Amino acid sequence: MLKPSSLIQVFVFAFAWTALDCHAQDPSHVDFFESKIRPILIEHCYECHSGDSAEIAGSLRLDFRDGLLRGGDSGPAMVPGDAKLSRLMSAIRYESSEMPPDGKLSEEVVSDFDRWISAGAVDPRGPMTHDPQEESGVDWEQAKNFWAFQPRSVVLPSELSPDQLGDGVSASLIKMPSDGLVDDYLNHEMALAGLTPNPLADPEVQLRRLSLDLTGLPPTIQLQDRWLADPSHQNWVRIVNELLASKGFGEHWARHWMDVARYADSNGSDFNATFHEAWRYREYLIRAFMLDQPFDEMIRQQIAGDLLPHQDDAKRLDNVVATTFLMLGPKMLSERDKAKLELDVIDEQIDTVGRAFMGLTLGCARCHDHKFDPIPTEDYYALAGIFSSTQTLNGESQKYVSTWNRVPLPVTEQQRLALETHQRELKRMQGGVKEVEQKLKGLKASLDGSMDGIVLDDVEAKKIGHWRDSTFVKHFVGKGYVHDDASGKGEASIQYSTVLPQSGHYEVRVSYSPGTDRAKSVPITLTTANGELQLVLDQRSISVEPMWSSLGIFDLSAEADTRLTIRNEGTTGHVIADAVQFIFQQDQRLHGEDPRESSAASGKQNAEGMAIKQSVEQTEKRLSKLKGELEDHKKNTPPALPVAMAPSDRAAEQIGDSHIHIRGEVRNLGDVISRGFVRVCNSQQTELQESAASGRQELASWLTDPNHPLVARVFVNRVWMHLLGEGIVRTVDNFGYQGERPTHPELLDYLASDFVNNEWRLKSLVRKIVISQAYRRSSQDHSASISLDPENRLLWKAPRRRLTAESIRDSIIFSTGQLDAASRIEPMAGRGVLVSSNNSDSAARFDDVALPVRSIYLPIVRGYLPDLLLALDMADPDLLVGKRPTTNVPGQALILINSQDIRDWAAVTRDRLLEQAMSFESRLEAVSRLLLQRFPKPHEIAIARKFFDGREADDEAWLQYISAIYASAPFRFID
Amino acid sequence: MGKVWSGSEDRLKMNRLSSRNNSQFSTRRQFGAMSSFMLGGLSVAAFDPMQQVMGATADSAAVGTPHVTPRVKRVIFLFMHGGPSHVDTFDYKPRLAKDDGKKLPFDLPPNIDAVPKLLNGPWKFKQRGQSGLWVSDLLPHMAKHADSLCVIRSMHTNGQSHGQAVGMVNTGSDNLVRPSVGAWVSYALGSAHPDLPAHVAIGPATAHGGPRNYGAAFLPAMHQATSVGSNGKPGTGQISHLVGPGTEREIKERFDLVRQMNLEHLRAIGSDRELRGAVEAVDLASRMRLAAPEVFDVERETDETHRGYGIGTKETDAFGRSCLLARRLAESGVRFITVSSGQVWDQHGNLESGHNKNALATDQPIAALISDLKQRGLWDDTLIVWGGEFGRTPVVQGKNGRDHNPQGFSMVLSGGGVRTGITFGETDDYGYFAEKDRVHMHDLHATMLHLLGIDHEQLTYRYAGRDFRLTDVHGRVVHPVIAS
Repeated sequence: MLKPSSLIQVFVFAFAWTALDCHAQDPSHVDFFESKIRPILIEHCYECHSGDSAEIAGSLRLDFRDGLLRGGDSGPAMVPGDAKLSRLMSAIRYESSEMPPDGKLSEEVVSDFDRWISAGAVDPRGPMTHDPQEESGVDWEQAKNFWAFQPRSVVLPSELSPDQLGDGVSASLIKMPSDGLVDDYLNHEMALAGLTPNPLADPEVQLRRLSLDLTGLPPTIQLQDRWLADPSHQNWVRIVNELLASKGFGEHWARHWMDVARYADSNGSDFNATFHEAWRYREYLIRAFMLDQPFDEMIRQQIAGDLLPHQDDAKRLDNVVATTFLMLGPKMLSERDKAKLELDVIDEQIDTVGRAFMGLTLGCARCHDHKFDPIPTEDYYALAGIFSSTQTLNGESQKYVSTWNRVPLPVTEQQRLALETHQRELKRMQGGVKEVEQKLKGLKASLDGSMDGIVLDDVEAKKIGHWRDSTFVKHFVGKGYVHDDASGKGEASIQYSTVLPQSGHYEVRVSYSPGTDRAKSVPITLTTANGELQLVLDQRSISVEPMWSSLGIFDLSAEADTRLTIRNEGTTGHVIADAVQFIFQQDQRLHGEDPRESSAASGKQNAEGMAIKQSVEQTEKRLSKLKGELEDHKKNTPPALPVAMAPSDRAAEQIGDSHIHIRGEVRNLGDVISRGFVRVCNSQQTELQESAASGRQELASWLTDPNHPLVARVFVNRVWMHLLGEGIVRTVDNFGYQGERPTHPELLDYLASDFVNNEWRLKSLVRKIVISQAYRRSSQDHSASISLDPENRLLWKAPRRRLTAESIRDSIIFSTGQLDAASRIEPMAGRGVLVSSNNSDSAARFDDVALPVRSIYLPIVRGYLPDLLLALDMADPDLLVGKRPTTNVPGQALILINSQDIRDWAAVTRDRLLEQAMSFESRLEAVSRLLLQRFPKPHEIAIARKFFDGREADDEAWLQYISAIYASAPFRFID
Repeated sequence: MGKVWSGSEDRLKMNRLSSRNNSQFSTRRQFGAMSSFMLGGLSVAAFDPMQQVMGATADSAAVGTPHVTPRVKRVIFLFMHGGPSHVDTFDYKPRLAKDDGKKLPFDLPPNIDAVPKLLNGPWKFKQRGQSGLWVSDLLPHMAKHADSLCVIRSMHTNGQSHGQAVGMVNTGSDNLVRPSVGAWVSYALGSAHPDLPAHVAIGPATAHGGPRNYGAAFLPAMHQATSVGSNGKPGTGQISHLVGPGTEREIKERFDLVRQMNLEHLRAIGSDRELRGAVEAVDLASRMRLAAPEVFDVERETDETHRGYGIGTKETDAFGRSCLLARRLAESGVRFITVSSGQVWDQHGNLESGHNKNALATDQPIAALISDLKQRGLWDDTLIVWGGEFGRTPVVQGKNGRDHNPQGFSMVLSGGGVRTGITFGETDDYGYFAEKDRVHMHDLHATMLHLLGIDHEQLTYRYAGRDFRLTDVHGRVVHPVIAS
């Protein structure tokens, strides 16, 4: 409250100001705005919130009146006449967004704004006549002119016009010999640029390239022999078909897609939960690619498999397992704000679907319209509605920690019955064990010294008011205790009464379970022949373990009732009532003497004790028998019913459209947006028709429409990249404005259309590419060509590429001759909810990297990736990786040269090679054919001679030599 | 100037050789410009024809023009994983002592397990040094350096659980996969040593995101920290695979043989940029193999230095070794060094014994590090950051613990670039919520970059269609803590 003197001062000042400049003090007058508001806006706000701002922060403009009224991302900045409701006020008061950011305005200025708004926010500034920033609506006609959103059009190479020929290039060059359309398209471009393509590579180089590209493994010696004996085109096609049919093809190409699907066997992130069921998705991919399942069907399965019709159980299994695709992202499972978590999960799904299938960075539109691509925020939330109607998370694995949805997989009726019967029996047996355990516990408790004297349990007491039964907190007499629920204070009481066997001194105890939420001053009345005693008990702690507190020693008479009453009057917290105990005190009793031996009632109790002890023994025997039976039963458990890590549609009442979340914030809601798809790809309708389901099935159909402008192009481009080093669009995950343009748009459209026409079959596409001359060319540099096309965009040479991390490891193990063709089905079997304890002191290890299986079967445990594969640029499973980065950090050389695993493998290979008696030269040849799949070159023989130099029979020298090859460039690169 | 610091996952574009559709092509040269300082580290990126293969030299790290005048050259982040209690260390709250056992007079934030009963810790606060900075008895050694400390008492961050908050302090994101602070610094500045990485994590935790907290995410892989040891322990104290099977002679023989094979292969093929990158990397590895073990070898220090850091004493040995290693790395040109305590500061119960144990393990080594840096003239251009992912509640959890408190906590800075002997910002009377001059974790990151000469708004990397920053769309430099 103001003191009188300051009140006077306020009046004086107000009067003085009014007298000096009456209008500037009237907040409803324009002068007030001009002198108090406008200068502040200009000085502190215009930098970020006016038409001159480099970027209009929060889409909010403060340089014209309507700008404040219309507001920005967070809604209107001001409600004229109501300062309280105006966001501008909470912002400058630093109660919400803390504006201006470089320092809070003075109290005086803040109060000026308050008065100005309260008086109606008079503002002479006119409305904006034209505001280009406000035209957030996309010009769809213009947007669709962008190449990626145009429908595909197939222009045959023969129709491409030979205009704009480079200087000195004759039209005849366009007619280069080729084996098919792929070469025709490429040759046409090279002719225009005046480039001469390289000749075909050496046959052995071609075969190594083909085998590693198709299967991820090098060619066997037998295959090398067959090819070198007949390096004809027919034989090439035959070998291509063989490799396409091998299991290795399925494994290698499944791994490519796993990069895009950010595949992992654990969640990583804050709570590294085991993905016990992710392997099913890996197996599905291997199966699907091996069987050359149409890719459009694979897309439908991965988006909406759980909703698709199926003709048999095998199809149902594939359908459901495929949707694991949507589940694999890393999630902040322990986020306590579950609404935020849901939104983040949806965001990860939208971003993944957008980039994986369409090459669109939809994630950019979460907080604002996409800055570069025609993807308004509405389109993002149209998709968000589909995913928010989908159950991805479901329940918690522990407090605050979410877990994910699981969908049962088909099983035979027999399996189901067997498991049901088993579980029913299990439950019955567990019930039996528990019952006997309880009985035993009761018996033992009555043997316990704490049960001396006369004990009155709550069940024998007289209760008034509300007492709730409980067994929640351990240590109580009998079957439980009661408590007052910390409510109905003053209304509840409980009275224990008894007639004692003899008069004398008794220690009186009460039992209860202590705790911090217990009442600390519980009133107790002890009524004896001598009258009433008022006592107070603190139930937050006890004085005699495990559950007793002594009230003291009292002189009690056997002539009258002894009553003890516990009340909850005047207490806060829980009042507990369990049992009351009266222990007779013999005068000569010494401190610490066992009362059981000296108690007057001990004779009777000892007899009882003996009987109880016998009963305990019998019960223990029975219990151990029952437990044994239970264990046997558990050992015979039939396999658990299989489940997939897969989404479901939510219940009908939870299915619906999503709000826009302004700036991506959880609780900042904008308009509701009808569920739908990305409008710029309008191959068909983009809004979901009335649907009682999430809309995933419709999304899947929309994506796989043969006329969708992006999906087939994006997939074909990925395949091209795996075979020719770079995509036709080099930014394989981004086909938007910020991505690169295709080097060969006609070729891309031809391949995409052909792919769709061939039922979206990967193998025909791969075959078409690898039988081209372009694929089989030499990778040799050529100075004239380099000067014309240094980046080899027109593919005048084959690109030299590093083997993938998996291929390096697999090739090494392949050369040991011990590669196990069998797959490890469930890499995470036996792991708990967490891959390792979340206590960071635990050093979990995943040592499987030494196992002789293909790398695709090693567990991908986020946070515990194998050093070897990590150093060689394996895909980061936290991210969608369309094109793996290829680095040459020294760490790679260090691990390849110094890894114990590689050394061990080298030793096996060495032993294998030294088994047979051979000349030094033949041995060198054998090493080269096994490791490099070619005969040694003269310079390699020279290096070897110099290195061995008298050590030709030395095992250690061979070990060194083979180890070095594994780390060398010829081994690590595909020429 | 800002463009110098912008990179991209995409390669430099070139015009399609055909002139058709020319308007659809644009040339973006940022990447080419960036590569000059990308090479400041150890790596030679293969498959980038525009990038010249070159051996890194000592001065190749000093590339890229700073946005602002750098105040420090390196950062040592002493990460007190688990979350030490600010109200028991640096944020003196007389009201908390006075109202011990009383009910908190305002609401608890959602989703916490503490009961609203105030708990005063057992440690006495005293004013220290000439500045009179308040430090509790829990940290007697750091207290001796009070005049060299700058305590930000108004920190707040995102994430009520460890996972989110640990991500926030290490990567600036509590939910999504983002590059770590050290990766951004490595990306911006490179290493100042030709044969050492720019970014090292000593004893990083395997939980709460594990490698993600010192990872590169979508930045080029070379910016991921080289890790040494784990979970608060320095392990061998050496980079892995510097040594391998066999004798030193055999290892050298392998390196030489690989080198020969590569060179002859390259010669046979003629020119090839990709191959040359791989060849060069073997040479770099070879040099690193020789240089790094010495730099990483804390045994080369005197007994007196060891004693100062508490090396040889059971309680302080591990963290002492980590801190001494941090000093050796700082001295050798490493830009960003995280020293983790292990996730030990999480006292939901037994606050007194737990915090005493952790303070015993870390306090003396940290004080020794500060003294040592000063003695060698390194303190002036080093920024030390001490703190956890969050603080702890002033109210009790269970019998004698404290729950997580991201709503308000303290972090401590030290080094030549900051104003020392001061506190900045305030929490409420009990230390629950940051109130005055609030500093968000994004603000601290912006300030760390600023001290290194980097404008956090201009250090960007294009990925998945947009320009990413360490501070996302947030962050303000906290100028009042910067020395004038």
